[in-house]
Amino acid sequence: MGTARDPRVLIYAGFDLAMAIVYAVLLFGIIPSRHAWVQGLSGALVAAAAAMGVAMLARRPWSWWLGVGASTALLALALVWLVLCLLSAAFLTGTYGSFGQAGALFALLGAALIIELIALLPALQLKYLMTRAGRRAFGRGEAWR
Amino acid sequence: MSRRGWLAVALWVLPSLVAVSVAALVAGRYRITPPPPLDGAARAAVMEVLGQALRGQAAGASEPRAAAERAAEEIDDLARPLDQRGPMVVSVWLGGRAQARVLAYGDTVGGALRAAVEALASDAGVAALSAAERAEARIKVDLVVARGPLVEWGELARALGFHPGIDGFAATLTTPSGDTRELLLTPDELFLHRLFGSYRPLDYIPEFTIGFDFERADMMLAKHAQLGSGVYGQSERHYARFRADSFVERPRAQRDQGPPLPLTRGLPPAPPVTAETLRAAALAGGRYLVAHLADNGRYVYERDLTTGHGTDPHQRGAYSIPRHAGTTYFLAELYRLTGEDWLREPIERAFAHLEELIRAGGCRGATATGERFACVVDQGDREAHLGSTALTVVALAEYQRATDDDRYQPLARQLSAWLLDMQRPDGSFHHLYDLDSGRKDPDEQLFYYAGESALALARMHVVTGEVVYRDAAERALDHLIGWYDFFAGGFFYGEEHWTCIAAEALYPAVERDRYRRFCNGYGAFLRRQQPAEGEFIDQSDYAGSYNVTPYLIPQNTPAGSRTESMISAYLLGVHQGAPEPALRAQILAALQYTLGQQLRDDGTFAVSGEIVSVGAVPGTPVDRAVRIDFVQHVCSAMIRAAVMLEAEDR
Repeated sequence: MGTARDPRVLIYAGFDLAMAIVYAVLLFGIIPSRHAWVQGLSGALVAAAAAMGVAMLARRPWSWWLGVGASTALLALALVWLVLCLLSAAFLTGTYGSFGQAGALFALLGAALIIELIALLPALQLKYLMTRAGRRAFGRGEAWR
Repeated sequence: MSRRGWLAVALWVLPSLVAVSVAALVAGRYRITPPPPLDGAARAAVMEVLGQALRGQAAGASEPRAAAERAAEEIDDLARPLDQRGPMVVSVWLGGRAQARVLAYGDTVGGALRAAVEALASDAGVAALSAAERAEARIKVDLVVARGPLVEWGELARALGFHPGIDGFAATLTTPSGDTRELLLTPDELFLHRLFGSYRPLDYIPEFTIGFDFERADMMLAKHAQLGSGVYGQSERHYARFRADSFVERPRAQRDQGPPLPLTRGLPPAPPVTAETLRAAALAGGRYLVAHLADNGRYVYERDLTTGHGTDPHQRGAYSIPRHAGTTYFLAELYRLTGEDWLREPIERAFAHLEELIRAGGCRGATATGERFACVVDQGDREAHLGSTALTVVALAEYQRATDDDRYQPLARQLSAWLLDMQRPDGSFHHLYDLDSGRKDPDEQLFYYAGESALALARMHVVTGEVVYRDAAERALDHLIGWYDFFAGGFFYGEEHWTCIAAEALYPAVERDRYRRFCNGYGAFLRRQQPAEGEFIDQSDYAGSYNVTPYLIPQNTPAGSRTESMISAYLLGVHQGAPEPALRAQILAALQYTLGQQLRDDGTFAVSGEIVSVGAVPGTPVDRAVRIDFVQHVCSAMIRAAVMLEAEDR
C-alpha cells in the first residue's frame, strides 16, 4: 500500500471532519463551558481537527505540513486537557466533601476518555503521515536520506 | 465493491443496524399506542348516563338504559370500537374511597356504557349509598382503550417495563373450574397503593427499591378476585398492561361548569399560568399549611393524602427545624405579599414554636470577640448544622419584613453572630459545629448551606441596614460563584438555587453583573433538564418539570425551588436592565407543571375524606404523600411569580 490512491487518506479525512463536528456540537452545543478561556481551548480543538481533515482532503505537499502541524497541535491540546482534568479532580477532591469526591470521579473519567476521544486519532494520523506511504500519498519524497 | 470493501461497510453499519432493529422490535412488541381520548361531548354524554344510573332518573329525563341507547346513536365517539371489548371501569368515589366499582364490556364505547348502566343497577356498593351520598359522590371512568404485553425478560425488566401512572395492570384468570374473568388495577390505583418504587431487585439491599412491584400488585388482584382459599394461586393467569382514557365527574358544585375532567395520573388539567391562578394557588398552599399547623405551633410534617395518615405534631419524634423554619418563612412571605390577615396568627404560633425549639436545642455561647451567639440544633443533638441556623434567620428576618415587628430581631442577631463566626475570611463557611468542644469542622461541606447563609446575611442587612451583614453576604456570594473558576467548573453547576436568591436579595446594596451572568448560566444549565411540551412521548404532563430523562419520575420540590431561584435570576436581569426572556419562559413552564401537580377541589376525589388536601403538593406525579417543604417551595415560587407578572402588567 502507499500509492496516490491510498484510501487511508480519505478515511482519516472522514474521521477528522466527523470529530471536528462532534467536538463542536459537544463543546459548544451540549456542554459548553462558561469560561471564555475554556471555550477558546474548545475552539482550538475543533480547528485542529478540521485542519487535519482539510489537510488530508487537499492531498498536496504543503498540506502534509498542515496535517503534521494540526495533528501535533491536537496531541498537545489533548495533553493540556488531560492536565486540566487532573487538576480539576484534585481541586474537587480537596474542596467539596462528598460532592467533590463525586465530581473528582467524573473529572478522572473525563481524563481517561481524553486519550480515546482526542489523542488517539492525531497519534495514528501523525504516524501515518510520517511513514513512507503517507509522504508518498501527499506527493512528498522520503522524510530523510 | 471488493470483499474487503463490503466487510468495511458491514463493520460500520451492522452495529447501528442491530441496535435500531432491536429498538424497533421492542417498540413494535411492547409499545402501546392509545387512540385519541374521547372529546368533551362524548365524556359528558357518558357521565350523564352514568349519573342517571347512579342517582336515578332526573325529572323529564329518559330512563338510563334508553339514555345510553340514545347517546350511543347520537354521539359519534360512542360508536368507536373498543379493543378487546374494553372494559369501561366505572368507580363511584366518596370520602376518598371507591364505594363501588364495576367493569363493563362492550364492542363499542356505547356498548360498554350500556353494560355499565346494567352493572351499576345491581351493584351492592351502589345500593349501600344513600340518596345524599349518591348526589355527593363523583363518578370516575377508566375506559380501557389499548393493551400491550407485560415485559417478561426477568423481574427487573418487568419492574421497569411500566409507565408509572400511565399503564394499568390486568390479569385474565381461568380458575380450575374453568371460569374465566378479568381483573384490573387502573393506572392511578397502582400508584395510590404505592406499587411503584417498591420492588426490591436485591434482597440483600432492602433499601434499594425501584420500579413496579409485580408481586404486591398480583396479591392485590387476588384480593379483588375474592375467590376461595388458594383458588387464585391455582388459576391460570395471563397478565397485560393497558392504557385507559380516564375522566372524572366534576365536584357537585361545579357540575354545570363543563364536561367531566380528563385525568392524567389521577389529576385533572391545570389552569393556565396567570397572575390570578398563581396567586390563588399560592394562597391555597398557605391554607393547606395553616390547616396542618397544630395548636402548639408544630406542623403535621408529612401527610399521606390517600390514607389520611399524618405525623402527629403533639408527639416528639422526627421533625426538621430547618423545614419548620423554611415553611414558616414561606407563610411570612405570603403574608408580606398578599396581606391576608388569616395568616398572621398561625405565623406567630409557628414562630413561637420555632423559638422554643431553638431554646430547647441549647446551642448558645460567645464568640472569640465576646459576642453572644445562638445556633439551631435539634434537642439532644450535639452537632449544629449551618443550614438550620441560616434558614431560621431567613424566616425571622422575613417575619420582620412582613409585619414590621422586630420582636425576633435580638434572636436573629445572635443566630447571625454564629453564622458570621462560622465564616472564613475567604467568604466560605464551616458547615458543622460541635456543641461540646466548640470545634468547627474544617472539612465537611454540605449542599445548600453556604447559599442559605448568604441569603440569611443578605436578609439581615435588609432588616437592620448594617453593613457587616452586607459585606459578609457579598463575600459568601463571591466565594460561591468564584468556586467555579477552574477548568471543570465551567461545565457544571451544583445546587445553586439559594445562591441566586441571595444574589437578588442583596440587590441593590450589592450590584454585580457577575452575579447576573452566573445565574443566567445556571438557568441555561437547568433548562437542559426541562422537557418541553411533546418532548416526552405519552408524558406531556412532565413538560416544564426538571427531569433529565423520561425514564425517571420528576420531583415536584425542585420544580418549585429552582423556580424560586430562576425568578431571582430573572429579577437580577430586570434590575440591571437586561431581563433574560429564556428565564421567563423557563419560569412559566415550570409553574404550568407545578400548577398541574397541586391538588384543587376538582382533583381530591381520591383523598381521604377527613383531611384538608386542597393546596397540597405531593412529592411526585405518582405519589400522594405531602411534606411541608414540598408545598413551601412550590407555593413560594407561585406567589413570587404572581407578583412578578403583576408588576409586568403595571
